[in-house]
Amino acid sequence: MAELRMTTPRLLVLHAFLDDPTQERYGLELATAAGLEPGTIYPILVAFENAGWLSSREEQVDPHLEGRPRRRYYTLTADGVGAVRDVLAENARRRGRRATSTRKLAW
Amino acid sequence: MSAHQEAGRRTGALTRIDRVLVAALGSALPSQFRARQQAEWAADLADLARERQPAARWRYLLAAAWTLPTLIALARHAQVDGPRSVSPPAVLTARMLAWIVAISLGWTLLSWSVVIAGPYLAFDVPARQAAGIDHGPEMMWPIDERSLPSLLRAALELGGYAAIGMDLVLVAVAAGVTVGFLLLPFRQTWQDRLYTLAGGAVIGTVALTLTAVNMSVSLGTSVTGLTLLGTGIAAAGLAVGRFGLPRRWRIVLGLLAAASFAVVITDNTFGSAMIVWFRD
Repeated sequence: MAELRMTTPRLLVLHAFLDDPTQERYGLELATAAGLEPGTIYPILVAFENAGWLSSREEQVDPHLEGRPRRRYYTLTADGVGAVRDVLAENARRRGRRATSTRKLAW
Repeated sequence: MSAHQEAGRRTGALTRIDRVLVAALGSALPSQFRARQQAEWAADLADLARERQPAARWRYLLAAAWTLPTLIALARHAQVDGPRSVSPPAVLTARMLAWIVAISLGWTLLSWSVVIAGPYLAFDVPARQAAGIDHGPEMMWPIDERSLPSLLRAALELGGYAAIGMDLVLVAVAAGVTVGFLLLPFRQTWQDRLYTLAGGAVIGTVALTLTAVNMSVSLGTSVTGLTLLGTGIAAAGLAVGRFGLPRRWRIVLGLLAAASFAVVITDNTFGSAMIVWFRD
């Protein structure tokens, strides 16, 4: 599994996934849930997919009936759920340490 | 069909600009990943279109362009769905051929209108000839030959010369477009396939008719005008009528109709005088 650099947008997307780890979601839906600009979501999803945290599948609908191309649905893999929880926990610890050190400096 | 699907059909269609921009963004991506990502962008834009948010669509495209370099780098290692999301080379070749042929026919028609029929009628060349006034085709272009419009003029004149022999070219054009457009769609419903086959049959019939016309012309008969007039009217009727034909078929049929009418005009005495004027 590749090591991923965690940025704020990536963390926001992971939080959105962990709201319901078993639910499949598409890009625009995830961007809205994470509070990101919709057009920016795909590099994040592809990075997570390359790392093995996400799997994706193309939906089985008739594009002519739907009036749009088929969507791609993303879901967390079993490895992904564990990895994401570790990352978010680590991030929370760092933020906690930073907040503590800031308080020490302030006082 | 659900109410949601019906709404999607009514309002979810992408604009031409959306399609062009999605294609342009996708062209920068690795080929094996391109179709997948273009479908993602197009589906999102269709959703935004359905919600009637033009500003959000522009913002979406700008954001997609902004993150494109990252996506390109990541896409080299991304999962793909196999052959279904990658166009076979034969389809791509046929698509390119179809576009080249359709654009060539369109340019030939435009040239014929701009450098032959248009000025001939607009400047009333027969009257000028009778009165002995300057009536050469060069009067259309009173501009320095080294300037950019002279390049346009050269391109239009070449198109005009191609238009003079159009009834022969038209057969090859019709056949090429038929083959190209039959192979073009590779994700179709059965209804669309039937429409495509019906359109192919119409254009194939036109091509065969024109071939027969050419043979009859070489044998000295004079059925060209009437046959082409009939096929032109039929093609125009199919192009503008409500027969549920896909838009690309309407464009091709419209071009064929215009070409047929152009040949009808060119093949009579009035048209011959125009050609003589243009060649001189």
